Amino acid sequence: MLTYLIRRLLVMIPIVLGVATIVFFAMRLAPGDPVRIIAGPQAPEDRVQEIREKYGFDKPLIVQYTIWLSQIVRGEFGNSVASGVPAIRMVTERLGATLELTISAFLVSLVLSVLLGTLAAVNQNGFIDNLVTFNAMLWLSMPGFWLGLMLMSVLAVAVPIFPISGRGDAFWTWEGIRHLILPAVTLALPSAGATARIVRSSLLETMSQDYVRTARSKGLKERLVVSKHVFRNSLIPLITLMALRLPALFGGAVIVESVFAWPGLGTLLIKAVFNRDYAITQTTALFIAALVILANLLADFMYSVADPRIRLD
Amino acid sequence: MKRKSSHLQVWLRAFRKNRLSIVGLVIVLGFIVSGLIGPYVAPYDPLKANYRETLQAPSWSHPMGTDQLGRDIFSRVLHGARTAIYVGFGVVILEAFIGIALGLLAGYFGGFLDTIIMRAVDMMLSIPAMVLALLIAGTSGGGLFTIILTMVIVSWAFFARLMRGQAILVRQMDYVESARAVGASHWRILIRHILPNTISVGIVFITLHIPYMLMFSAGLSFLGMGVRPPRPEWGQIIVSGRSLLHSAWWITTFPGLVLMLIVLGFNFLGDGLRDAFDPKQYIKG
Repeated sequence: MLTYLIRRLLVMIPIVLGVATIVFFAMRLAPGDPVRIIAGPQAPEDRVQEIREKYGFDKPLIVQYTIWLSQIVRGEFGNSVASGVPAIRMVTERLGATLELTISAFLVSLVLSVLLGTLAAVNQNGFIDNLVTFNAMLWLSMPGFWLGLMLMSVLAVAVPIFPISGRGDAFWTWEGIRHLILPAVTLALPSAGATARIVRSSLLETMSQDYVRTARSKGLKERLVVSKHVFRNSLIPLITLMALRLPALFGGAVIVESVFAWPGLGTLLIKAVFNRDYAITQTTALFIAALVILANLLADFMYSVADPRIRLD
Repeated sequence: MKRKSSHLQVWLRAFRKNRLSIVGLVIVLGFIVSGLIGPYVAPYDPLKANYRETLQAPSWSHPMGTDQLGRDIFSRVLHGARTAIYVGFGVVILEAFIGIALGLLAGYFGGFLDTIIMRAVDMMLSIPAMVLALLIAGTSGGGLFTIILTMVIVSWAFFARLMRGQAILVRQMDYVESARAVGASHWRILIRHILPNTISVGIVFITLHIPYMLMFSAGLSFLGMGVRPPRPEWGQIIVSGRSLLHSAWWITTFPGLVLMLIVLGFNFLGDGLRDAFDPKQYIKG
């Protein structure tokens, strides 16, 4: 187990470096001079030159890249050009809000999809099955931001049950929950729609296995057959699938945060991109990628918990 | 004696059996037709402001209402269909070339080439597509071609990984073995054997990926980094009604409903195609 962990962490290093490289060059592919944006349109030429030298934009791209890479390896992420605050501090301050949103959305989506998928599978081709399948399809066919605006328009504007936007207190307080519900549901529904369909088909496939027929034929109650025999054996595809949804969840959070003015990494990233604030943009993107990579690692560990036959070394 | 039906006939029968896939096909065809003729049949100019008819609720003359500049939402949605066609189909065509080429090469040859390509895929998939797209599109302005290119860059890896998996499956088939035994070149095997036997999975993927790209493009517009005005785009129309949710709900609601309907259509069609391509159908047929 330990060797496996070490090996996995070592494999992560080139991936993280590669991601860092992609992030660096993605922002510089574009024409347009960041220095002009920082300095403002009316800045005199010598001031522009001064800023250019201060942030190293006068050096060739490949030199900028090596300097930046050697800095992030040492844990120096640079300062925001707009406010001068260290990028790492701005990112860690907002990390909590994004994790709160994505983890609650993940849980909502997990509970909904397992519940609905199971309901559909045990009522195969019945009314409930059709209802669930249709709803799942509907949810995954809605653009996240539009769903957010619609929920907002009905549940915050027309019937003001929930606040329109922003983050309340800590999530265990009533105010915190009230602010969290709409963004979390908006982020969760498309994902739940996709997963519920897979849960359904995975359960149905397991139900046609011989050991399930054996369990039924020995007179076991249907509820026990489903919970003990079918469910346990359908967990693995579910874990794979949920792990695969994670990048989409973190990506979707960028949009949902923007809809509900949620003070997380997504809104930080968008603002930084608009301001050409390279230090912030690159650090935020790197952190989000690191979250995705860690989540995938976690999913691998979950396999071995769900299925003892899978050994991790 | 019963006549043996051809593969195509079996396939068509399987496809027709699924009523939802026919519904999907009709919606998708409707979308393509509106994209082609929409701009010519739209009742109003999508860009011309009309200050005497601002923020009108849906009526016979403006079925989807008007926006704060008095522009007819329905006409803007029709023009937006053209943009959506460019984006949706443009992205998947480019992506299919890259994904099929890299995926099949990696899966067929394996070894070092496979390692290189799959490492690149791993890296691309570690950054959420929306985050990477923001980095690229946010700094490079919103020309239609730039947006299409951005979306290809952030999404080719899914396709490459899928096609690689398929190529590995097909590579082990007896007919590939025999082709190699009679001295066929790698190139010939790739084009004549691997490609045709993996393409059905690719077609299903493309069908299910177009709607995803339509939603993605709308999402970029929502963040202010998509296709730039004046070209009408659905995400843009939706976002223009954002601050008017309480008074002019139609601006946000209708373009979103249209987008959702089209996404549903593609999803129904894709599911139907997948079932119809399923080899189990041929055993039954």
